[in-house]
Amino acid sequence: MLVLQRRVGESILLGSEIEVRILGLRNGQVKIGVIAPKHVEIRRNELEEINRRAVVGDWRTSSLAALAQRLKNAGRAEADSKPDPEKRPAEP
Amino acid sequence: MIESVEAPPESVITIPNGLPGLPQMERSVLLRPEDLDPILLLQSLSDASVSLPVVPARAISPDYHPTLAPEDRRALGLPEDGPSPELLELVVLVLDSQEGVAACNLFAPILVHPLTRIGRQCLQLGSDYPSLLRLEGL
Repeated sequence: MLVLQRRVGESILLGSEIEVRILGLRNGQVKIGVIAPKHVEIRRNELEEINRRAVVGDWRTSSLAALAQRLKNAGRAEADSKPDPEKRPAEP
Repeated sequence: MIESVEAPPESVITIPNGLPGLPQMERSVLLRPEDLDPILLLQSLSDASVSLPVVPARAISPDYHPTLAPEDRRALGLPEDGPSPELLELVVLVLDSQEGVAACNLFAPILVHPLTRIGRQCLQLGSDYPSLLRLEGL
């Protein structure tokens, strides 16, 4: 792997058509700008990893059922905590 | 594991080019296993071994309001402005086998047009929605 150090505002060139510029740093995150032709696909690797990790395997079915029950219970609890608009307050 | 999937054409969800990292999701159907309610399974029609657990976004957060970038609206066949049909908003669930926790991706919901059944994973750029919100409180 080629490792480069760049300052904010500096960039690197990939081939003759793609420029990657460091736009800023904040809270441990790097803001990157990419200038590339339209035909170059720019993908977020972490999003692909999350989607692939989410794919269900046999071992997960029981865990999913348990999570479903928890989601259902949480939904019921929330519904119970909301005032029923049909119910009027008791007359004094 | 599901070995084969057949679905009536009107139930097929089409996600052009599939989901990021999962091109098999170009054509899929939503399965509703009774024991998993409210969780649904987005089942690939091209690869029976690929199935993604999702949940309607409101089941996670009633206040969840994803926004659509112009390219999202175009991809979903929505007008640039004006009223749009209410989209089906699905959030991807991730189970971590090692840590034994579940998380959901609020940063990239899958939105589906209710009439055309065209879907797209729409990034919430500039929002505070996390890509992995741990569901520890459940």
